[in-house]
Amino acid sequence: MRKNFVFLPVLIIVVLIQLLTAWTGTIFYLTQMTMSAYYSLLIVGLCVLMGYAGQISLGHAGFFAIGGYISAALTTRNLTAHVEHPVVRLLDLLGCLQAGQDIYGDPLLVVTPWAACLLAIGAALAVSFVLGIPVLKLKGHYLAMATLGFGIIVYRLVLASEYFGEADGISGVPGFSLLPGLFVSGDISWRVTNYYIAWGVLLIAMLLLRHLIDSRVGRALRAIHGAQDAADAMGVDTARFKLQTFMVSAVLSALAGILLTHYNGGIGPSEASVMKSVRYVAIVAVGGMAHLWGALAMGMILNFLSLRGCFGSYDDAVFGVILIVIMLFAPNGILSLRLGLLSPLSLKGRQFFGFLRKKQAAKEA
Amino acid sequence: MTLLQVDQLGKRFGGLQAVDGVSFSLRQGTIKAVIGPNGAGKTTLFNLIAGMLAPTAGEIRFQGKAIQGMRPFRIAGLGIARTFQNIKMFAGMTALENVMVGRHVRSKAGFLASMFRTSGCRSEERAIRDKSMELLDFVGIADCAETLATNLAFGQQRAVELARALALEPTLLLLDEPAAGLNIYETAEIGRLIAKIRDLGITVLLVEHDMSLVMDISDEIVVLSFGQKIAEDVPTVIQQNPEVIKVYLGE
Amino acid sequence: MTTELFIQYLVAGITYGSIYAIVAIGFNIIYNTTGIINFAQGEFVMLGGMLSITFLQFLPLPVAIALAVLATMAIGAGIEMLFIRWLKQPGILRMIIITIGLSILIRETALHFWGANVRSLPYFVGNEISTIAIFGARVSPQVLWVIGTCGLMVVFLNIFFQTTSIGREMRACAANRVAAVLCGIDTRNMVTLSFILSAGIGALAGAVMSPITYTQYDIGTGLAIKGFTVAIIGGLGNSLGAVGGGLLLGILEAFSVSVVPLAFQDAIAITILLVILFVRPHGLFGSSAVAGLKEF
Repeated sequence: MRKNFVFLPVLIIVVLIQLLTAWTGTIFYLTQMTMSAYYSLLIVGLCVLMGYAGQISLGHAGFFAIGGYISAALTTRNLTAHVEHPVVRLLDLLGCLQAGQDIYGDPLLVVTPWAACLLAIGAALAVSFVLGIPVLKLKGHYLAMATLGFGIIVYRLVLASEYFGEADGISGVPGFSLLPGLFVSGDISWRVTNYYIAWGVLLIAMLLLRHLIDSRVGRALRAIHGAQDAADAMGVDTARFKLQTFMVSAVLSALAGILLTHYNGGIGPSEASVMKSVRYVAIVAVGGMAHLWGALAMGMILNFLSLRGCFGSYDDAVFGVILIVIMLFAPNGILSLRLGLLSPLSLKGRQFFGFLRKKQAAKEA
Repeated sequence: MTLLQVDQLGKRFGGLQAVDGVSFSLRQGTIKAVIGPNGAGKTTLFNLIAGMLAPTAGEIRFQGKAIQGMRPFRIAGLGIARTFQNIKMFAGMTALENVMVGRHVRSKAGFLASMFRTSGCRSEERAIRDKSMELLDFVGIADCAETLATNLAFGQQRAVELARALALEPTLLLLDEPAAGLNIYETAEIGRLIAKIRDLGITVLLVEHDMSLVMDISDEIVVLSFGQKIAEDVPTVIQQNPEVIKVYLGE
Repeated sequence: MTTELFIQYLVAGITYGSIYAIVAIGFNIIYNTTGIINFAQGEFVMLGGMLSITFLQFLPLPVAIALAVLATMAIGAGIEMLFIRWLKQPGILRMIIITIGLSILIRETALHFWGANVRSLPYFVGNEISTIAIFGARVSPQVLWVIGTCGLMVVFLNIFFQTTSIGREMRACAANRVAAVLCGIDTRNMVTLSFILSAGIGALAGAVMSPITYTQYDIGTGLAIKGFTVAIIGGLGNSLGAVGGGLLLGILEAFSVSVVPLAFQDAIAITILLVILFVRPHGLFGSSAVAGLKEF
């Protein structure tokens, strides 16, 4: 499709950034870039749900936490004492367990990252399916509150369960070997590789989502957003399409949670907090709701600044202000301001281009 | 052959009997109009057939199959397409994309096929595009294909809506006041278009206020008043019916 | 369970329930005039408590509370005039996001002003250990202040909406905005007034509850969720339903203490919320026919 030409420039920028950091000796920036890329993975999924299917979710940090926590718990929990348990034996038979030694030299038996990853994604799929059927029947405030409620429940659960480490979260999560040579880990020697892994995953997701939007399914979603009863009259099973979009975005969120948890070596309850969900919504809004590349760009920039600590103790306040300002002055996203100025259709744009043309003509004359 | 059979259909909203025991049938390949003064229950009747409302009494049979109370998207899937009185364009989509949505039930690519853009998905996409262009051409606005639908003139939006409904390849087409808001030239144009659609073999049921259009193109007319059917016949007879005249002109 | 314990739980339930009811009524007042759910409703309660505590350093208690309520009302008016008034036909999604942004902004400002410490007003009468006996159960006199104040607010609001001309105009606005405009009612001022009113009642509830429940910069979100749950139980827009729903939720929570661990307390309200949203979105006391006419 025509819109896919963006991929090449983005890829070039990604490589240039890496080369630049290597050249200037600021390779440490790649750590936050990697983390931002994973957060952006969640954000582009949420963007399809909010911008294209028109369904708000204030609970996507919940799916991120489901992915991260389940993967973290499974890959750190020592099962040695439960070897005889039928479930553990089944996992062993399926080759999902790996043995090793913990720091004290005691035997350690945990679930392999790949198995944990698949189980975590399965959990996110199941939860989004069960939650989505009733929740997506709701609209407006009701949908917002219901998803917010889901987010708070997940937050309370991870905060209150001993299994998920309560307020401390889970640490000591091992690295995740995606493929030979592709090792998701925070270890400094793997930093450049991980930067490319994160971008690789993100760009593959972007490609799939772009395809989705430019297809029969994407048209149906936009139709639901544009005029739900007309979409219904065209034979679009609106409930099913909303549900499937919800599940796709939940899986991307869970995947982001899984990969980032293995990269960071741990996860804490703040990842499940409502403020995180609100932040993701803010970023999608700044990017322009129905604008995948806008969401990706804003996801990278704002998360990077936040992770570098640029907002100091005003971190949450900054996102609150962003939400208000964008929704008041540019509900179509920050890019709409710039595009508005440059677009030949807008008044200012016409004046601008008219000015350029005149100048050109004067030069030629 | 009877395509649609409405039998003793009733719809009650609290204390208001909006549609009261209405029965009529629709033969394949004909144009039937439903007329009546404001508040006669025309739009309610329409929404009952299209599945936007569930009836409180009676039966609707399409090709012999009871369809009352089915969800609208299922009814569309059976081959019943509709347009809306106050046009409902899909905002943010071009005229062509609007029509392409109409191909939804005639295509099948799902989430995974779309994401991974399988070869079947690609060829289906081409077919959808070609068919939709053809339909925009049929309604006479092929040159507006890439314009945002909401930026089109009112009459053009009507045409897009018609093309969108036709994209379903419907057996039955429901038109809710197709001439509302159009001037006399545009109304005549839409009349010619509806006749052309009938000639394609598509059965048409329309609700309309514009009598000249109704008398011009309908094969048969059903007259409603206060939710009840008071007459059903060919246009020339309806024009002479004293009860119909009374309803329209008062005592 | 002994009678004393039963009464104790019941009183605790009614106390919290009346606060939830006030938050829910705050939601309703704004929802009725604008169709907006103000996600910053819980922050009004927080501001009421926090401002009272600050003013108490210079002023006697009644004056401090009065001033805090007035200040919160001014903030409510300011929010409406700065962020809501000049938007022409904003979509629901846009309004949700704006009010969420406002709630974050108020919360973070409070954090920078007052820090993350838990604070409270002194008991209005007596102190932490003074109690009075109700059917043999010992309860703090402050709970009577809370229940009494909330009850009075409900009564006064009812009188206000039923008998005064401004109250009637606000109800007209709620019933049909366009018709209200055509009758010469300035709906914009009614919207401002609804923000002032719901800020005021939230702040007063926040002040009287703070001796027993304590207050902190971030109590708003939890209260908003519970207040919304109550508003839904009672049927959105129905204030008497909100009182019933508030008491129901408060009592349910109080008695669940013996069954459910404290950490999962919030989950109870949210589970109820989700169940009701799925089963009866028009509320236990609302009618589905009326709900069908409203835009959610």
